[in-house]
Amino acid sequence: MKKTRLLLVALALMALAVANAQTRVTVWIYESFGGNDSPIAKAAADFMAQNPDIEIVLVPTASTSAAYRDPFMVAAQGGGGPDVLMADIAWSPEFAAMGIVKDLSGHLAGKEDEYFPGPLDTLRYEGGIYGVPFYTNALGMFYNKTAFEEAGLPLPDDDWTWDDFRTAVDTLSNGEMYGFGLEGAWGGTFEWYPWFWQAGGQLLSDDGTAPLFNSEAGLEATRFFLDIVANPRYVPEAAKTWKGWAELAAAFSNEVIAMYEVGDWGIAMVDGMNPPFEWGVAPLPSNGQRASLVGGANWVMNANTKVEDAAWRWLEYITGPAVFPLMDGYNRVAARRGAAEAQEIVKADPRMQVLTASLEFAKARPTVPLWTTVDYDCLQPAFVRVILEGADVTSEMANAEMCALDVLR
Amino acid sequence: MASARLRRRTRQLPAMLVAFFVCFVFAIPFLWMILTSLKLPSELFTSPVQVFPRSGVYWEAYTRIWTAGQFGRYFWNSTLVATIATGASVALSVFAAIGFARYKLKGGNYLLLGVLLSQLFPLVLLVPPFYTVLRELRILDTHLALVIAYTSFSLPFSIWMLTGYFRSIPFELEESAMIDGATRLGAQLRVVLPLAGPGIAATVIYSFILAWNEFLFATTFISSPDLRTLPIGLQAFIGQYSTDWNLLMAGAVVTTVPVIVMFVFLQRYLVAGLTAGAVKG
Amino acid sequence: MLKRDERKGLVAPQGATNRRTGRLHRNWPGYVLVLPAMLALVGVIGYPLVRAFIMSLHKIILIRPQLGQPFVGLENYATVLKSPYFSNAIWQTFVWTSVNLVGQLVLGLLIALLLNSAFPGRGIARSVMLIPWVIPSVVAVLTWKWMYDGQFGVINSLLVRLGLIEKGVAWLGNTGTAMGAVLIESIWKGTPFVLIMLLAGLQAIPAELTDSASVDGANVWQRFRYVTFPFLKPTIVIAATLTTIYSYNNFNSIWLMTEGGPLRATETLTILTYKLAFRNFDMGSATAAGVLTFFVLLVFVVVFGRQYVKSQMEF
Repeated sequence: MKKTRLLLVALALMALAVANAQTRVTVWIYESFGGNDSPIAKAAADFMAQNPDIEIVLVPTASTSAAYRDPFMVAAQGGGGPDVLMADIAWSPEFAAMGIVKDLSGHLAGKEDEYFPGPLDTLRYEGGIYGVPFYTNALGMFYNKTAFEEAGLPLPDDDWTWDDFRTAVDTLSNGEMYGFGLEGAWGGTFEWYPWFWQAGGQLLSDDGTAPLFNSEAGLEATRFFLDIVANPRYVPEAAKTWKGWAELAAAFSNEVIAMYEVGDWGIAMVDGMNPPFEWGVAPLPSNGQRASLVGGANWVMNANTKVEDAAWRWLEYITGPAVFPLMDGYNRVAARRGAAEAQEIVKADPRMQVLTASLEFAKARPTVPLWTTVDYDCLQPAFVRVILEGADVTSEMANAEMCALDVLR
Repeated sequence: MASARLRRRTRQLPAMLVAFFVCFVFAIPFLWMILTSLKLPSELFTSPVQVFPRSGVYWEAYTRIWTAGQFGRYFWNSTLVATIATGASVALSVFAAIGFARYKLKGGNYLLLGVLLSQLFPLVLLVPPFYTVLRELRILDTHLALVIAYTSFSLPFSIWMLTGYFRSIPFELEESAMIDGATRLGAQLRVVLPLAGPGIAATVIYSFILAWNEFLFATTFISSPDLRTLPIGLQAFIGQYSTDWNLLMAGAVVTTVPVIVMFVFLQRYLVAGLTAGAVKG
Repeated sequence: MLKRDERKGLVAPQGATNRRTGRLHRNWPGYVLVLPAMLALVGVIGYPLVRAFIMSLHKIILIRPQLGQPFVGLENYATVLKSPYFSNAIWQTFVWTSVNLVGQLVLGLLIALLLNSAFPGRGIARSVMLIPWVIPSVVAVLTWKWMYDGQFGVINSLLVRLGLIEKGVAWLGNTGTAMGAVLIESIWKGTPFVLIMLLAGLQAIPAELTDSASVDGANVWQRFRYVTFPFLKPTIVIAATLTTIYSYNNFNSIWLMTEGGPLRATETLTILTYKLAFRNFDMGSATAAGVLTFFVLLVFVVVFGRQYVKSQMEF
């Protein structure tokens, strides 16, 4: 009975679709994904061939936050905007909290297991799931193999530890080269998260209201990390203003720095610079337990959309099995389970395998929408004061805790 | 005759040298942009810094910008929007400035001050309500929206510039034209306008550059790729993880040069003697 | 002294004809002329301004839509005024705006006088001077940021080669140098605008005035002080007012180079407002900060504006 009704509805819909114009779904994608013969354009063409009633309009848009996140916020708050869009996992909680993207948990019921839990967690907000995971990545350590060998250091492997890392940084910092580099314009919090988790730290209470980072474990990790980062012998002065991956890739390829933390997107960047040495990728050094930081992008649906069903069918398709070949085209790893086995780029490149293995223990930053504020306004200034002014880690972490309490209040 | 000319040239030499030196200093970042656009991608970030391309000049960026994205279309869109907005802004501000400079308006000076109020508020905060207005007018994602925005935002400068300029032109000129039988507005337009050449030229330059380079409105109000303007097109070269410096710099050079060339022609209106000569006559 | 009357004519907008006949009757065309521009300004900028003002009286936290948008009176203003970030931002804004103003005005004036004198290639020089202003600001700022880089920046490489510093300095990354570094970029970018205004203003000076002054044996400084400057004064005042406003509103230079850092060393009110709106999603406080600075600038503009009106009357 139910089936026949569904069939009738489907038929009616199809008749409508033929009689009327197609349902148009406007899709924002990152500019770097775009272009007329890009893999995603081909995927959209395949989708439209299978679903003649739907027209997918891809809109490649520059993916800086000023050109992508802010305009979407303004548009969605003002009642407009695209139907669906790719969004950085860091933006997802903000969008969910603002109520400008749809809760898709109804659509996702019974399908949650199809995605890696880390990326999926970035979409959970107050019981709902506000999007679908698209691709994911985890931080690993790029290292200059030649420099390690010349210095007589053992190469980093799956079991290397914090002490191994510190020894390596110290040995490799020989006056001509620095042992480590990072995106210091942000005080290095981005690179710090994994160390914090490896020490067993917890950032926030489970209800998301109380900061817990000023703990024994937190202090241990922060001291270890900042001891290295604040040392001008270990990290170049220029790193204080670096906030792009290009500078780090260039510093690495030019033998300015011997190691840096980065994800799979860094592989093509370093390869493109033809470094005159051998290099490799290792998991981040461990401290008894392992951890890494999850990055990547999700799909979210505009709360204003009038074509929810068509938009959902597109999301279902683009995050379904079709995502594996698609992501191969972009050198990224799909956030869908089975990616490591299904994707050619992972099978072909041992460096990708190291990074993909790190996904197992990679965590996401808290999905409390104000976490970004805690990061920017509390943690970063504390770190910068330690680096620039030699401030004391213990007191700065206490300040950061007070600040976070104030923000989350 | 020839020697007098030579003497004059010699006298002008110091000014010329100083001027060219100042120009060079101000142009250094632009030269750096040109050099960057011509280097191989692998030569961009080197330590120590490499100033000139080492392994040959890399012209490819200048051909690639036209194929990557739709730079040609962005160019056309920017030209269209900037030209119309400049025209509208100059027309509106010429009339307003005649009003302010040639008539005694009740509270005119306060109104003139009020014109500036619009500029005293952070633009980022005006964007959300402005978006709503445009949406209600159903002109979001059209060039009209940008034309309206750019015209309005260049008006304060244009009105102030031209009012100041018109006020400096003697009334007697306009009155003598009126005696010739012209209406007052006719006299104003016929007599005052040509004398205001430098002021209008400055206004044109200002409005055009504002519209040519504006990013915030363009990125918020325009969503169709076909309607994007140059600053949005350039932004596309700034990627999520890395910036395509060759394309960005080549794009910026290509965006800048036509305006400078246009100015080479426009700047003769900024030449001394035009006004003075006319006033004398 | 024949210039006396002429000058009066030059600067007094209300001619004798005006005063003889009834004001409004004769002046209605004036209102008609002004009206279209005013309508455009009110419609496009006035309305969003009023909306923003209303927002400043409400609690609007975008990421907490469940709170609604209750009216809270001046609470946002109190919050903003109490914040230590606000007083820091006021100070940074003061430094930022005043150094920009003085730098751009002085450089602009000197270069305008230079480019107003006759020499071969003047047209080219004028056009080249316009380049910083024409370069799309995002690209200009990113280029400067790169030139300042401690490792890959051409500025450091030059200074090291000249022996002025031993090794690269992260100019934008240290609290002591960041503001200066950003200011240099901003003055570089803004000077051509002042230059164009002053160059246009210089054309309004009747040539015979300067000529007769030099025949009278006045030196360069005297000619500037007693002939050029009085005529240029209204233009200088306009340029000063607009430069102040535009520097204050300059967002790109700071945001793309330092995001207001390090440690808020370059956080002006414009940056703070943006952070409140788009990072903390607190539109109420953001608009309140905007309105507060609106009034600070308003005082400034009224003072300058008076000066402008006066400068038109006094000589």
